[in-house]
Amino acid sequence: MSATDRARRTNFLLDVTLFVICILLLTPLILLIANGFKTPQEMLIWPPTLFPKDPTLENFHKVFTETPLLRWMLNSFLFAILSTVAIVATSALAGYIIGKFPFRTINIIFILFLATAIIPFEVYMIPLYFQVKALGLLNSVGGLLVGYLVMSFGIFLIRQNVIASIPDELLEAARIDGAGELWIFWYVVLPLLRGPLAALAVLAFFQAWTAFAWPIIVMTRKKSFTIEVGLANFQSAYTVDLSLLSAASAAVMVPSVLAFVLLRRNFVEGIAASGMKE
Amino acid sequence: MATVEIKELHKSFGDVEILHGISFTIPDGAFVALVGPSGCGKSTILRLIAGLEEITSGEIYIGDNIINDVEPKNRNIAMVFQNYALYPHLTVAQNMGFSLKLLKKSKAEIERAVQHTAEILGVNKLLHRLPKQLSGGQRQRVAMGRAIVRKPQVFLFDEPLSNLDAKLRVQMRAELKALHRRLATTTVYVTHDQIEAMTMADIVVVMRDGNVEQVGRPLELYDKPVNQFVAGFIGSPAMGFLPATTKVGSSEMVLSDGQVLSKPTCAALDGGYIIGLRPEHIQLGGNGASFKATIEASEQTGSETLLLARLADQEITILLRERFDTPIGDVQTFVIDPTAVQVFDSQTGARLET
Amino acid sequence: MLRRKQFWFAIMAILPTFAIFGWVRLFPIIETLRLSMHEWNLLSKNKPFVGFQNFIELFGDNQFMDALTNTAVIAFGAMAVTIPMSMVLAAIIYHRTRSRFSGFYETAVFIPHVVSLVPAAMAWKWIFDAKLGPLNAIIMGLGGDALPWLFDPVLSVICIIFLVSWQTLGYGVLIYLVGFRNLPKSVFEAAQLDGANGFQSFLYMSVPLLKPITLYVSVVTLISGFNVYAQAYVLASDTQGAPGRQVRVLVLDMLENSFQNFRVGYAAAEAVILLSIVLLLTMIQFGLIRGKGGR
Repeated sequence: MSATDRARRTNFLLDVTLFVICILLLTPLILLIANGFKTPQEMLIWPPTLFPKDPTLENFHKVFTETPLLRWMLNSFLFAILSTVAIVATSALAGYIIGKFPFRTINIIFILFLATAIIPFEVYMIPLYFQVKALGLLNSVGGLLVGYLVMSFGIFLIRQNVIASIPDELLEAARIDGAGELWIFWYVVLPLLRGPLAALAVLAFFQAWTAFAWPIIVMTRKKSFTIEVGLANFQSAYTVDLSLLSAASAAVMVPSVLAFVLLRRNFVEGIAASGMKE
Repeated sequence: MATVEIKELHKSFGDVEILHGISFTIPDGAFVALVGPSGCGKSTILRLIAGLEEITSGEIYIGDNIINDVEPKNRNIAMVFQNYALYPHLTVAQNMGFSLKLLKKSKAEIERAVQHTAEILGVNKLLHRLPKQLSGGQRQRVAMGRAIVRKPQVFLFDEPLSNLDAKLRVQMRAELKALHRRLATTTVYVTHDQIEAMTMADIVVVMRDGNVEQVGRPLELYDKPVNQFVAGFIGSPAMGFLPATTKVGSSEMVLSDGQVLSKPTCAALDGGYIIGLRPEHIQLGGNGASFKATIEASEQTGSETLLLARLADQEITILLRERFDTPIGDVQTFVIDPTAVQVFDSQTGARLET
Repeated sequence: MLRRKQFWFAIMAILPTFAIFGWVRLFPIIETLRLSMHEWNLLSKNKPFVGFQNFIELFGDNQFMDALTNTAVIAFGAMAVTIPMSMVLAAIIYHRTRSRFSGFYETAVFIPHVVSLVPAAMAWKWIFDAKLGPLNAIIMGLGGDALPWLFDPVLSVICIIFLVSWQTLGYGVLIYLVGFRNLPKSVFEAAQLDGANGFQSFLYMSVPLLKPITLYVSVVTLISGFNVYAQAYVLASDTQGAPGRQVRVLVLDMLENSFQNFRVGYAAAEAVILLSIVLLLTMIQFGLIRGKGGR
């Protein structure tokens, strides 16, 4: 066999292996979606069927009309959007300051930001909970937001980008021309940060959307649940209706997966950046 | 017998053909330089011999065996990369011994071979260091050591000296030549520096745009370049070219500004031609057929003078083996031996026998 | 003059962010540290100082030790599965970069990471269900016995490890792919000429050269493993709502102590222990990287 043929055969085998592995990885999700289309009776059959024999849209219909799913999605969405805006705004400004204004005070502040970056939220969320309670913000999006207003990594990411891609001379030229600092930030710096800010926005949104531990302690009333919390508690309210549960989960899952497939580039950039911060 | 034969070699990347039918033979034990400007395909040929790229069509033989489909590791060749490609996480000793380790040789055998090779190259004191702790020259030697330890039939070098500073380069040139004499292994050496090719090789292959322009001994290429490209490529500083006209029966070649040079002997030429003048052949003079040129720049190196002059509206270089001080803008008289003038066909660029 | 103006601008500009930060990050962290040395039952105004008593009590507390053990097993287990699998998978995907399916592979592998925790856990809950799930169906079809995946103490931990690994795999592959792309190509060609086949290249070249990445992925997966909660919460019962075995993890124990047992100081002490573990892991990572870089 020639070298080319051998290479082609290896490549084919590798492709087959990868294909199988990818399908296996996605199988649980495919099954979940399939279950959403089964009737509740079919869910109780043993051995379980893979694909619905009598597919029905009844579950999805029920999920959107009889359960608070839509309301939960709205809560999550609102929370995620607001968190993203807050994080992008604070990271952009703070990252810019830390990157281009190396005064000692600023550097100390930076070290503080860094030091707390590695501490997981779960460690200090209980005292923060009491703060939120004292402010009467429990069961509101505001209360949720309190935990997700800043992202240390976001500040770090912007700082790195500011140092790497915004030359000092650009800022100095603007200052000599008489521009005010805020003007410089808004019209000079921000446009140059479009890429990293987009990646950060995606990351921040994802972080807020998938948050669990914090929302579960802050939101106690069913109406105010975020989608994650709502889904997790679904089982207690709708215990035996497995197909409904699957439909609800599928309904939640599909938009995020679609969003990912469309925004893959930004997403990957953000995550890879977090990996390369070393 | 480790002869290397390239037969009608074609290589394409996608739709672009890089090599257009290369053929030449390398005798056993010879040091052959592949030389040419960037993009001419010389590195590609090397990688095809190594097996790092696939051959589109044509054949490569090592000895009597056609090696088109043989895996690189089974071709019994070794390669020294331009950036040395040392294994950054292994010590010098481990770098050199890696191929033997893959062959499952005993630890003692590997140590012996590595030690022996390290001594030849003078790196035996560095065996426990990592590549990042070595200087450029030392890394180069380790890269060679890694190649030598495998006792290959053919050595391949891909511009190994281009990352070294000038002084080190001169030193390494001599060492490589000595190494070749000692090991007597067939060597294929790719470089864009024609001085390296001329000083080190037994045979030089000049390439341009995926074609072989000329194959021959270094001095052959210097004295009898097959065309204008080879003539201009070989020799430093480069040969200067001027258009000239001549008539059959006349003993003169007329330049565009009317100046006259003597025709190279026995040339029965008629019409317009390109003549080539090597800077080192032009001398100061006044007697006999001479020409005048305007000095545009002058560089003194201590023992030589390099002049940039304008002759017949062309810029030519003149190398004088003496000190000669002359102000810019001056017109000087030069002379050249007619037999040293080379004549090229103005359409094809081929050199015409004189 | 200009410098002074810039200084004040910088301070003013960063003040809002720093103020928020102080309120939502610094203050709670210090509060946690402080509370860990006090006793507080949520209701009374009294928060007596108790020194290290909480910590001493924790180490005698069976439930806490249970949680600690489970969490550690999950974290290290997930890491042990994720690292080799993502490295190998990334190696194969990288090798096939030129294939027209490479986009599909990268996307497919990463989707489990993108799907939020709860729906993903739901999907696996059904698979693991002892009475209705396909996993047991396959096992029985092959002649084995059905296993109580979500009920058995050991099996339920394994289920969580599996779920966490499945979710983290995509992230690991992504980071390793970046790593592979940054490896020097000529080193691999040299290895090829020296006689290494694909597998040997991977073992002797890729793996050692990717050590920094392996280190980073290890620590990240370990840290997120120690914070596991959602998965344990969701897998706590089977799909029919019958209370299964809730795998005790640290965060769960902490929240229970705080909101169900009304022992906030005690819970804070747990948080401090969690923090110490995370700090320790991070320092080990820095230490190992520094060690290799130096010399």
